[in-house]
Amino acid sequence: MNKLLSKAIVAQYYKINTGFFLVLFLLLFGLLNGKATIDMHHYLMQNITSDVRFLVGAMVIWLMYDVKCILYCHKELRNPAGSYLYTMQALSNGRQFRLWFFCHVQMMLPVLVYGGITVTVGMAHGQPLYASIFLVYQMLLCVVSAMLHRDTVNSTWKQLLPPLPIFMQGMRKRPVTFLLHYSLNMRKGTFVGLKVLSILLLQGMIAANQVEINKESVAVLMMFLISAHSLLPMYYLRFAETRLAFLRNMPVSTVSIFLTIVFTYAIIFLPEIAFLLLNSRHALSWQVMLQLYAVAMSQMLLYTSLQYVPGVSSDRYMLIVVVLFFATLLFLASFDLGPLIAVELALSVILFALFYRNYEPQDGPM
Amino acid sequence: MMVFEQFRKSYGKTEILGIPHLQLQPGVYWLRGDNGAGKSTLMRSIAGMIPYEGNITVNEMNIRRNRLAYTSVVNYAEAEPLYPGFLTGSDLVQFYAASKRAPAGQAQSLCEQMGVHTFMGNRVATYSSGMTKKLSLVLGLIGNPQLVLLDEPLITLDTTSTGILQQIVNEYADRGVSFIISSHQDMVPGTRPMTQLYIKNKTIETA
Repeated sequence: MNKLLSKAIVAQYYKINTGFFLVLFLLLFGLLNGKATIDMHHYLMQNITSDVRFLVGAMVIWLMYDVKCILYCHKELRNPAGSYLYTMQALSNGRQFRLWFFCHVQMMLPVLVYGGITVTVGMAHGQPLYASIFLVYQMLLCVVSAMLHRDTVNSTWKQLLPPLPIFMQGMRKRPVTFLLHYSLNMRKGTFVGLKVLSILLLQGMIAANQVEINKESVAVLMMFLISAHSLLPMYYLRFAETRLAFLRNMPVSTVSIFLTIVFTYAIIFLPEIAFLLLNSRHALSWQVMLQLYAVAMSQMLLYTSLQYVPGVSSDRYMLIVVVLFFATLLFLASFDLGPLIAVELALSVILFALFYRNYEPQDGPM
Repeated sequence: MMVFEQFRKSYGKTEILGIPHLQLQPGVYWLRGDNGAGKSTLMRSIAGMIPYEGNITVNEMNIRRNRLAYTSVVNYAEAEPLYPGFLTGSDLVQFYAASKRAPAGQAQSLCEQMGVHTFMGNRVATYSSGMTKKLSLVLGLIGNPQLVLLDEPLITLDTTSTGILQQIVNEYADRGVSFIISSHQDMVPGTRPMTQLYIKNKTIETA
């Protein structure tokens, strides 16, 4: 039974969230050099176990991650394909709890490992009180979550969590907006999270560089934000090739489909560009902002087109995103943004034209 | 009407179907075969949903040469249809009617015949499997098709709707529309005679 849960829930969770973890990894360990990264984490861990504000902050972040895991399990259990898991109702409460506890611990592993090191650092620095509180808190999260999963399995007739609101329900949905509606309705957590992250990081950059904003640093931050958005093309492809697969039997040209994707990304990056226009007009020219907007679009189009190339699985795709992230940073250091935009746009158009119509999911029919 | 030339479909290195040459005259065909024989793969290939080797020509139209004209006249209703949950039946019907250039009033009439009009304003996410199936059949019949592919049209359909569908198929066939219908179930009485096609040994055998 443990094996089944690990395979059906945990492995799928990590597979689906590969992009999320990659972005998190880049954010936590990829932005600074080795020594500075270790110092930063040591500083954070010491403060979590000695300063109540840091401790509360860490607890909130751990809780958010825990909620993410709970929502994922809940979604899997409510999914018709997961209905076989309800046979667990036949097991004793204790056995069910143990199974879900083990499953939840596996999903929480990234934060539990970080939390475990934090507790060790705290103990080593003579802060047993906060370190113990943090340790107990993490254990409590796992216990309560396991109980929630068990209750979900045993309460098939109840709606345990209120549904999230449906955006623009009454509005007529034109084909050109399908991907946007998908983002706002079926991927609203990811989408809203990405936008909040973007605005927070941009705000942080502006606060840290109030007098003068360096063009290169904005470009690096934008590249990071674009990489964070690389989750969306992956979701879009999955959506387009399942629930929008009927488009392949419609008299809709490849150009129209490509332009729909262009339109989608043009809208998606409007909040970032609007934020820059409103808050950093004094430091960045409108030409630079326009170039950053174009880089965002061209990079997302390239991400989308690349997935239609035969042999590009989701794992390989994430690897390509990482390589492109660092390759683009090199480009930014030596060239103007113009050639980068042109190369990426040309590549995405060529790849899409070559491979879109011949695309087939690797596992056969979806 | 329909010609297969050196048609070959594989998943990885496994060949699923291979039809060196086959010509089908206009008519209504009942496609049969065991589970996993390749019925849906054949339907999806003809519909242009998946890539394949060789050529499939419908009324001298080839998807490789003229995709827009081909997909305008070849309609397809999937065995297990999936649509975006946030769209309503109306959204989809309007999109299909506009794309397939449906005659005025046709979509409305089909919706009423199949009983889809009562839930058209609701989001697809709220539909039962039977309701989604009915919607997919309506969508598969919209426009001015010359060939309609119905993959397992009877599954999850109630008895009344099965009869209505049969009636619509007969009406369309009288107007010269060809059908390929895959089904494990026998058609209801009153159905016009259908030529049976069997998928055996990775190819099509006619009865």
